[in-house]
Amino acid sequence: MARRSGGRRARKAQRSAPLADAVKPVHPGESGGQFKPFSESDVAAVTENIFRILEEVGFADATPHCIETCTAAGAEFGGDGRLRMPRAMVEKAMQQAPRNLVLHGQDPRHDLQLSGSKVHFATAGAAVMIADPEDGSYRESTAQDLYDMARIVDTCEHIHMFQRTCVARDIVDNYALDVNTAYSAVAGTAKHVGSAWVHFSHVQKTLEMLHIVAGGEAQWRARPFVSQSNCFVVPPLKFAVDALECLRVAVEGGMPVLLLSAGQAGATTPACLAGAVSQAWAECLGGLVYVNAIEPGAPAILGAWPFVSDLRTGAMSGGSPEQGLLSAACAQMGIFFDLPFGTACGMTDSKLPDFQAGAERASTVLAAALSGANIIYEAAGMYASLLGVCPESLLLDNDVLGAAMRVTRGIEVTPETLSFDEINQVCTGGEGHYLGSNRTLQVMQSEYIYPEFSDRTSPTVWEENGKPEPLREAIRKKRSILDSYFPGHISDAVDESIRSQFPIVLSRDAMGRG
Amino acid sequence: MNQAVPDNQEFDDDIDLAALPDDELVEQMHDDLYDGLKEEIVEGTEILLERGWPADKVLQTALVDGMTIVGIDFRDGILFVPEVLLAANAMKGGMAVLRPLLAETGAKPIGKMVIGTVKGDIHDIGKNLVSMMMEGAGFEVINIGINNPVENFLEAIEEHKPDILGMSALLTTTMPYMKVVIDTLVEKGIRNELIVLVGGAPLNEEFGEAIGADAYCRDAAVAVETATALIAEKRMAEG
Repeated sequence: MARRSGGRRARKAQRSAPLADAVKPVHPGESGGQFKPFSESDVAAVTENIFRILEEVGFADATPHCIETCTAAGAEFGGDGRLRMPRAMVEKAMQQAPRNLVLHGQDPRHDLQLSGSKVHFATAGAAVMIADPEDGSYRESTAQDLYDMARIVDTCEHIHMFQRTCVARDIVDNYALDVNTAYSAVAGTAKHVGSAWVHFSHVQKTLEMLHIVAGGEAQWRARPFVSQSNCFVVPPLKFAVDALECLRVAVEGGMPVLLLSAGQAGATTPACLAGAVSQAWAECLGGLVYVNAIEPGAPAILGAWPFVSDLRTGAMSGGSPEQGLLSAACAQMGIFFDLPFGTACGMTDSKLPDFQAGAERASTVLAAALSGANIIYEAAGMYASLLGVCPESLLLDNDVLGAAMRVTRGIEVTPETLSFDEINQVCTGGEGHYLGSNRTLQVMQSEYIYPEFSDRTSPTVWEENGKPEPLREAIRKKRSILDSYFPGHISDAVDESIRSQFPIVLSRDAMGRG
Repeated sequence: MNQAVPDNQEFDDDIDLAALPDDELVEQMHDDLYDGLKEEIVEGTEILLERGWPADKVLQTALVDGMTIVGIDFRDGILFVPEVLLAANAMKGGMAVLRPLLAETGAKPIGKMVIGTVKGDIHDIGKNLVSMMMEGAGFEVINIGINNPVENFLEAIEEHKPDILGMSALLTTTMPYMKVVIDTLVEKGIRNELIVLVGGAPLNEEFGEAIGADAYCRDAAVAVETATALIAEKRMAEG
C-alpha cells in the first residue's frame, strides 16, 4: 500500500536532528548592544582618556623591533625608555585594522563573522587543573584533556570556537607543549581554534604543521583557522618581550591575533572600573599600533580583558558582578571604535558546577552578551578563578550560553508578531486559547529555546523520573561523547604526515583511529 | 588623619603620644599600625627609644605584635589588602628608625628576603602580596620583579646577602625554572646559606620538595608564618 511521506518516523527523525537554520531560535552572531554601561558623554571621556594614556604614559619594555617599527610609524621613544603613541598614529592604526573580520573554521560552516555588535561565545584559558565533578577532585590537566574538550565543544551549538582551555601538564618540553596544544585542539574540533605559544620559533613550527592540515600555505593563508591568543602586554603598560616576538611571527604568518590585555582591577589596572576600562583599551590599541606597523591591516581582535581583584585577599575573581560590567563596558567601547572585539566573561570562582557557578556564569556572561562583544572568551567551563576547567560543565554551559543568546536576540516586532488578528480570532470566535493555533505551531521552536539539561518537570514527574540532576546527566553525556565521537575532519594521511614530523603525544588510539 | 578612623566623638584624634604611659602608648601604636598611620608610628617608636627601651624590644612589642594583629584580621577577612599595605607601610616607617640601632647593638634583624618571579613568567601580583606581607612582618624585602633569569637572582643574593630567597611562578611552563635557580645555588655552594621559599598557583608541597626548596607557601600569610618559623630555626642553629 502506498504511504504518504511523514508520519511518526519522519517527525521523530526531525525532532532528534538539529533544527534547520531557519527554525533555530538563536544563531551565532546575534546582535547585542542593548546594554550600555556608559552614556555617550562617558564614551567620549573614556576615549579621550585612552588616547591620553597612550600619548602621555606610553609603554615600557618595547623590543628593538617594536621600537623601530613603531617610531617609523610615528611613535616617540623617550629617554625614560617608554614608547609613546600620539593620537594621530593610533587613529591611523585603527583605520587600517580590518573590520568584518572572519574567523575561519576548518569547516566553513563554523566561520565566525566578527563585526558590529555580533556576539559569539568561546572557551579559553590556561587552567592547570581539571575539575572533576564525579569525585569532587582537582587533578593536573593533560593533552588528552585538551583533545577531549575540543571534541565536546565540537558538539556544543552555542560554543562557537575552541580556544585552548588548559595546559597539557603531561608535556614537559615547551616546544612539544606548544605543538601538541595546537594539534589536540585542531584535531578535536573543526571550529575555529585559538591557542598560545611560549616561544616564537614554536609558532613558526606550528605554522608549518597548520600548512599541512590546510593542504598548503596558500590554503592556510586564505582561511587561517587558528588564531593566536597573545598576552603582549604586562599591565600596567609594559610590553612582554617574548610575547611580542610570537606576535610578530603570527602576523607575518597570516595568523589572526588576539591582542590580549589581561589586567586585574585594583592590582594591575586602576581599581576604578572606568580607569580599568581605559587602561585595558589603551594597552590593546598600543598592540594594534605595533601589529599595523608590522603589516597594515593584519587581522587582529582587540582583547580588552580586565579581570577583577577581590581586594579582601588580592586574589582574582572571575565571577563578580564587576566582571560582567567591565566586559560589557569594554565591548561598548569596541562597538564605538568599530573594531573586532573580544572579552573574557562567564567564569566562576566556584570550584565545581554548583549554584555559585551557574549564577556567576549566567549573570556575567549575559551582561557581556547584551553589550555586543564579538567574542566572549572563557564563557564555558572555567572554574576556580581560571585555575580549573570542567569538561562536563562545557555541556551545561552550552545551555546557559544558548539562553544568553536568546535574550541577546531580543523580541522581533512586526504586524504578525504583534498577533492582533490571532488575539481577535481566538477570543471572539475561536478556542479561547492559543495552544493549537497555527501561529503557535509555526513559532514553537523559533521563538523559544529549549535547554538540554535544565529540568522543567513538575515535582511529581521529577520524583518519578528519579530526580534527574543536570550535572549527573552532563556526566553521562560527556562519557558518551568521549567514547564515541571522534571527528574525522583531519584525514589519516594528514595525521600520519604530522606525526612523522612533529612530536605528537596524543595516540592514534586516543583519536579513535587505533 | 586616616579615613579608616570613624568620625566619632568617642575618639580623640589629637592624642599626645608622649603623654601616654608605656603600656597605653604601645596599645595606641597597635591601633595606629592597624590604621596605617606612618608618622604616628615613627613618633611612637622614637618616644619609646627616648624612654630607654632597647630597639629590639620596641620592634617586638610595639611593631611586630601590632602587625600580628593586622595579619590575623587580614586572614579573617576584616582588613582589605590596601589597608594591610598601609599598615605595612607604617611598619616600615618604624623599621627605618630602628634598623640602624638594631645593627649597632648587633641584634639579629628579623630577616632579609630577595624575591622575584622566574624567567618566562610575567605574573607578579601574588609575589607583590608576599613582599608586602613580609615587610609588614618586619622583614627587609628586595623585590627584583618579573621574568628573572638565574643571573638576576645570583646578583641580588650577592649584593643584598639575604636570609631568604623567594621565587614565584604562575605558569606551569615556568615552574621548572625554579629548579634551575636552586641547582645553580647548589653549584655555587650557597644553597645552604639560604632559606628558599617558593609559591604560585600551580605549585604544591610535593613540587617544592622535588625541586629542593625549603618550603612551598600557598599564600602570603603562610609565607610570613613559614619565613618566621624557619628564620627562628636558623637563628637558633647559628646560636
